[in-house]
Amino acid sequence: MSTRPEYTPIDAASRWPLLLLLVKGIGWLVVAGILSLTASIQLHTPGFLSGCPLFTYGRTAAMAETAFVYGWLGNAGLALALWTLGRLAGEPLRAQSWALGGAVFWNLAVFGAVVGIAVGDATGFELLGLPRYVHLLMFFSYASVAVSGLLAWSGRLRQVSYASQWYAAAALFLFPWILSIAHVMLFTAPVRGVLQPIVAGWYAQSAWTLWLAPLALGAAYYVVPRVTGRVLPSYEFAALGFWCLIFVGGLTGGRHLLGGPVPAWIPSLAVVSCALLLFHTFIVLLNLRGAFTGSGTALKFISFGLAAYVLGALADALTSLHGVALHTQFTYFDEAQKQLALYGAASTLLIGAIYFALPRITGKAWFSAGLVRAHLVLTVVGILLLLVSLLGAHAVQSQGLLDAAVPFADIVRDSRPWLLAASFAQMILLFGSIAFLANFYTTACEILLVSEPAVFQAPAAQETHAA
Amino acid sequence: MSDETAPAPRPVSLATVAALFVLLSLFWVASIRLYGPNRPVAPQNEAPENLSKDLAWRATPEQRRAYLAELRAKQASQAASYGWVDAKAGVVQLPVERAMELIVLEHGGAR
Repeated sequence: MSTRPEYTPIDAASRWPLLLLLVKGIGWLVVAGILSLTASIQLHTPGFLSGCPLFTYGRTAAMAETAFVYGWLGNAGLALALWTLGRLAGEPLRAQSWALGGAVFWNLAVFGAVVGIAVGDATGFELLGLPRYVHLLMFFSYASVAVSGLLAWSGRLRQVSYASQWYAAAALFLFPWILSIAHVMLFTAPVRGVLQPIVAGWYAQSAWTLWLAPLALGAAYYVVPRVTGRVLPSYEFAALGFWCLIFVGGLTGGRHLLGGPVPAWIPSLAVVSCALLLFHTFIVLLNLRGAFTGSGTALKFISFGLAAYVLGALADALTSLHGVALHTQFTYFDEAQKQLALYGAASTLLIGAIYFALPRITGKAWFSAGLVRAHLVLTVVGILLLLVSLLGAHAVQSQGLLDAAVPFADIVRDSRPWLLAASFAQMILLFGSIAFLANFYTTACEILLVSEPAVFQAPAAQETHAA
Repeated sequence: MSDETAPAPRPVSLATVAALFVLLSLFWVASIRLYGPNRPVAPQNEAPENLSKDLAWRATPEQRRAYLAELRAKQASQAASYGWVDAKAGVVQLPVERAMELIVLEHGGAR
């Protein structure tokens, strides 16, 4: 375990933008949980809220996705990227007013997007359901937050740079670029016909591989060696893994289009890219495997997230093969894969990093060890149950859809028990998120309510206590 | 440690922030500049005065509705009347009802 003082003046001087992003992010996590639960109930009980146009299934599902990806993952990822870059730069974050302003407008944009989807302005594209009129605000607010991180990256006092910095800086650069290209090609000057799903598929996959995954991995690369107190094993390969993700990640978008009316080279390229991406995944696993043997809440979340990340990459590679896709496409397997990546991997990696970061940012221990434990158990159980139930629904769907003699109504009826279990899982996850929000809020509020300077307590010891 | 005074962040010039914004906007500008002008504009998105005569009907929703109504009326009239399609080749048009009767007769007769 590291013996260096962890609560530094750098943290104290940079805390406000970070706390704002984190509290907003966790707030969105709860909102996304409520919307996901609503959408999940509507899958097996279509009459639920069917009389309210604002909350019909298509809208609640898109709102849940937007709140989760841009509200929760976006805010939390940005906060941790700034924190990591600031700490490794060796000085307080610069341009903090830009970051604060950007955070406020980013959340206004997410709010506008959710309301816009509710009133029927969703675009219908995966991971880009946000109405087009919020894109510009999102772009500039993100850029405004990113300015602070990029200044920390470019003005770092140490010449040497680390994997966590590469991933964080890449995410800060790449999201505005992929968003701008998708916006221009889908909305400003929309491509036509079959090109639209190609661009949309590219954006959806790039948002995962070039934005969310780097944000989560950047945080994990920073936290794991700090908690374990050991140098990352096989660290010399980390750069190869990073560049592999950057160069190959964006090429895997065609896997969504297998069997579609697109040029054959697009899905073929995606198949090869998904296989190549396993190299990156293997290196990440090699570097961060210490998370599986360490102790503490942060590492428990990170090890779970790492396992989900590896499983997700394997599932991507396998389902990009035509023979496998025949059984998995257009079934709940797609949803299970998405939940594994977004909730299982990105979200838990970020949560683990937040459990490590907050005591350093505030100088306070987590308010309640019981809530920390409850959150851990509810999240792990919720995600596992969600995945199992969606895979069960997929098995029913897959068998039925491939048999022409099975009526579609029978498939729907047989998959209903699995969908009920999925709703139960969403409820468990929602309770976990509420526990997380309550604990975070009370911990963060302590620095507002207590007037005297915080007395330093070793955060590592606090984490062990909380675990 | 916590009792140390927090250092003030180094100031940042507006030009530096502007340069970073430009850097992040690079792909937006590039994709509009390189892709936008070369892309053929869909007729419904084109200014009415720039449309050719044969596409002028696509300029406004009202014109499109009127064109569709006219097209459907013409098709309905063709489907219910006799006329020449190609007199030289001996191809005629006849009402759909009559065409159906002839088909039934043709195939019923054969059976």
